[in-house]
Amino acid sequence: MKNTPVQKLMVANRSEIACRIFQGAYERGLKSVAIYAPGDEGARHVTMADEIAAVPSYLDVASIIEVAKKLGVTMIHPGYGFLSERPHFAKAVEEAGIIFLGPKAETMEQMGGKIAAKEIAEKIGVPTVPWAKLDFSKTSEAELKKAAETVGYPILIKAHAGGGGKGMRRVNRYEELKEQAEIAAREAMNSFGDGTLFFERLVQSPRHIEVQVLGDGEGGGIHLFERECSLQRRHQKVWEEAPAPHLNEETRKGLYQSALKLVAYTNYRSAGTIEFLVDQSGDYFFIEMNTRLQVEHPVTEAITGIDLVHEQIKLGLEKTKYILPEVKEPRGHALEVRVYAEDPAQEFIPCTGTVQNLIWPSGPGIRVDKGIEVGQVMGTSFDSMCAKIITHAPDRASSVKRMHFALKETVISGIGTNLDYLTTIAHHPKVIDGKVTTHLLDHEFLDYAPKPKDFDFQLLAAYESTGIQSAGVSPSNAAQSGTAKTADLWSSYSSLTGQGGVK
Amino acid sequence: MKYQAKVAGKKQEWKEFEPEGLKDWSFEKRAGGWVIATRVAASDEASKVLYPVGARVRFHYQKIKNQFWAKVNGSDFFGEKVPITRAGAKDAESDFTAQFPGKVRKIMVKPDQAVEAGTPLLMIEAMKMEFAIKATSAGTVKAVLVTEGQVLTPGEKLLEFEVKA
Repeated sequence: MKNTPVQKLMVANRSEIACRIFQGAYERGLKSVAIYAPGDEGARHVTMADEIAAVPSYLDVASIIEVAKKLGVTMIHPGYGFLSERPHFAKAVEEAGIIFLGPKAETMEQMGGKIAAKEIAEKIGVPTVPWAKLDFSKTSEAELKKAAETVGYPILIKAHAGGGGKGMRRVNRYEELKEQAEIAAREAMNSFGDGTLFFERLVQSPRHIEVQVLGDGEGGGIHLFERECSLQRRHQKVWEEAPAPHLNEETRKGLYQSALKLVAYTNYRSAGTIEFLVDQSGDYFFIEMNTRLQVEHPVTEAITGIDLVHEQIKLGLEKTKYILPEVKEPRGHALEVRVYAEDPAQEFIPCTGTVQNLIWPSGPGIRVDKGIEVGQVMGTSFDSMCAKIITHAPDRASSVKRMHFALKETVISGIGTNLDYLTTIAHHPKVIDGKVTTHLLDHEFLDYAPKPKDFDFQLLAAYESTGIQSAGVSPSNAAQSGTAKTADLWSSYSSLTGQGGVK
Repeated sequence: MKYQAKVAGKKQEWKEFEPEGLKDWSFEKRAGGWVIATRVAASDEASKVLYPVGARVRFHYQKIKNQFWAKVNGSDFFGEKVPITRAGAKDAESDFTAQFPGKVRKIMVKPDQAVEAGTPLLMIEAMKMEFAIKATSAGTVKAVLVTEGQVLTPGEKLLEFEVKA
């Protein structure tokens, strides 16, 4: 037998997705390499890889390629965000003789622009939503007005170069349009260096449903069913599930067929996602194709039993000999929530601090993909998502119950998180019934507020008065010796510092 | 001393048990972080219905200086616990300081302007997103302490605000 060289996989990413890919690398017998940008030295993903290397930024293509070559990396997984959908990165990786675990650069080019992607969709008979593109700085008021009328209100303003929902805005009237377009153009300029905007008709009370696909790069492809991702706040997904509840079979089949048409047309390689809006009548419109592994991929893995990262690695290694996995009927129902370090009661501002304690849920049908560990400092340099909690059960109702249990068992202290917001959403009657639309979190459920009861405070105060809290061994205060009871118990805590002794 | 909790920017009274109520509960702190409270006596008749003697409540509580993170009865909340002083009671809501590094994008109010609760006062840009700083209660903007375009460091005071009496 021929000697196979040692394969070394670098993840050009951070946090939970890097950790998740390292698991895949380990299971397939590959060596792993982590990179970290300044401020991320203490991040969890850095602890998991066989080798690590510092880079100036997760967006620095030249440095990443240089480090990869130096360490003898044979394949690179881009994760999501950062460089994952940048064709020039995929190209640079392949030109360096390294396997890129993702689609071909040409597919990213083809499908990366929202407009080009829509034109392709229209050409091959996949329905799309009315749209217009404009460079705000070069658009006269009359042109702006005309473009808006062609698209039709309400309008969704997006950054042409953007992704992930950041900077998307809804406007109902022309009066709002100008101001919001100005802000969007500025944000787009700051984030992507390109202020071109994209106007799109907002489909009223739609659902966001996407189809997971896997292509072999040679024209062959399969779909791995759909995911319901309607629960979004400012176009950032919060709660995802598979399969989509209350979806008629005709729409479902239509979504799969449309997705497969796009896979075939692009000779799609690796894992990807085709996003659709589905209105209340069951009509659907293609929005975009995400040429990468998605944050919410675990719900698909749960119902199909297919490990998407393993498939990506196999495809990368076997190339033309790769055989797509056999897909069986979906099994059970999976849910995912995204845990963010943010304050949901104060405009969702990012929360910073040092992680003091973590208790993760476990048990049948519970998966936690996490990117933080105790002692890790959460700053504002990176995205505030720190973990995903996924539940899987034979049916949706059981999966929701399982999510309630998982959230009840989770503790994150030292940084503020949206855990209570997630718990509240998970108990929302419409969520329990699976009657979700993209409207729910931004327009209906706005009265969220944490509601500590008097009893909760009384219990905490009584506990404090025992002095156990400061005397006890908590991971970050292990060095702290027992504090004697003093007359003013409050003052006994002032010796604790914000860093809790953790570097 | 009396305390108040500032949770989600809103202050609320931090209620403590009466001295005899303190003896109603015993606490066991587990090394993993959970605390088990067990009701051992019932000096207070009212709460006996919900928590009879022998009842167990599991919670998690972490406090550093006056910041705290709590999970009690399945709900999570975090904020600040601060002593109530005569002047301090009102300060809590009129205190607008930068929570994280960012930049002032837009100032939407003028000095001496009266506003309702929820009125956007400033737009702050951080992490490539814009956030509105809103009035948590009705009141008057006394002074704007920042300028548009100014880079903010955490703790920097943004506004002087007087809560409507």
